[in-house]
Amino acid sequence: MSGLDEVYINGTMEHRLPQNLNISFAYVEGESLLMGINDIAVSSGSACTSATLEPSYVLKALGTGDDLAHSSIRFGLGRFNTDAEVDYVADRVIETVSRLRELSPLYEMAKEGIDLKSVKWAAE
Amino acid sequence: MATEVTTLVEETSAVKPNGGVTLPIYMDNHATTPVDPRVLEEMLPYFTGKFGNAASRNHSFGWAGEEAVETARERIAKLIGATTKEIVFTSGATESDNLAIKGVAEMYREKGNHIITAVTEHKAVLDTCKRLEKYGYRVTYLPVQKDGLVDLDDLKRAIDDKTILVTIMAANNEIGVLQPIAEIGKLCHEKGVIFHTDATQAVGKVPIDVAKQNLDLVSISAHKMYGPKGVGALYVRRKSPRVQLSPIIDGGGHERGMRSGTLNVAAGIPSACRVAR
Repeated sequence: MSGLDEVYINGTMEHRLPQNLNISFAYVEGESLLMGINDIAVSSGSACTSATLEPSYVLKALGTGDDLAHSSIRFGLGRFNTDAEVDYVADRVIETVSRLRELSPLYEMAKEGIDLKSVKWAAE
Repeated sequence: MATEVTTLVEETSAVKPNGGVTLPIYMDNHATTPVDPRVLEEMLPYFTGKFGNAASRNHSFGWAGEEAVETARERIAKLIGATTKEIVFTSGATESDNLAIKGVAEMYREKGNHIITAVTEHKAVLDTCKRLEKYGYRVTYLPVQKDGLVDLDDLKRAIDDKTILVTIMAANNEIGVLQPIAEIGKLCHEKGVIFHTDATQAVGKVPIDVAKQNLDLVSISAHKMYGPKGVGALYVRRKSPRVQLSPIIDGGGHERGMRSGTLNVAAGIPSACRVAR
């Protein structure tokens, strides 16, 4: 994933199951990302089964903001995954995140150096 | 007709030439895992020819069932450094968590009413603790640090003379972080508090050793380690200290009275454990 910026790993890498990777892709909505990689079965940090789209209580407990929690994906490797599958998944995720960010005005603004927290939105 | 079936199979298995990988790709192994073909092979005879009830003492069908269950017990015990009499079979890790927490709460009610857990635990632990709060138990939900780990000093401060149980998971189901269970176990044993760990995501992946890590109760699930859904186990320490549990399911007194119900003889847990080693 080093081909992407604004990527955050959730939880320590030092004391961790080797099979697990949980990462947040800033400026990307988790559900859109999951739709974009719909030939890959992974989980997002949003509890999409509930009526309200609640971000993961585990990620919130780490101090992860709602936006980053919603943009998180959990990859869980298993005995039957192959190197070729890992390469394929990485390529597809990078490609999809890049495409979604190209469509994101927020990502564009952030890249232009605008502090999104200081923006006064019309709806507020 | 044959053509239609072939087309359907091709469509549902969705095979595409994508750099040699078959789509869709399953990469959600914390949710569940497929049954390993070697596990399935060991399970199959117990659905038909060897279908006996492991509790039937009077005939060879029952003995075959009991033998399968005892083999399962031996293998799972070996995987976590326990003895066979310390393994209680359940319907899965959610039941194991419920049995461990509610079982200790009821059994040690006269000793105290305080339980310590962490905010990032699985719902099977958190919701069980919440229910106990309704029954007058006091629960401390420890925060975690930015890296996802509990602070041992927080835990030390939380333990008081009414604390009967600490329940902290071995590996987190969402972020995979490994809590310092050996240190927590040591601390609990120094303070005379029972330590339960939900090791659903950890067993078969990272070393779990009940002696070295001072674990008193350990929840285990088969379907997270290439076994079938609907079966799990709870390790219950028998000495230093001997942990006693009130059952949450009453009935025929199976599993030394701790979990009644006919044993799932075909569960495949034995081969899952063997393959996991």
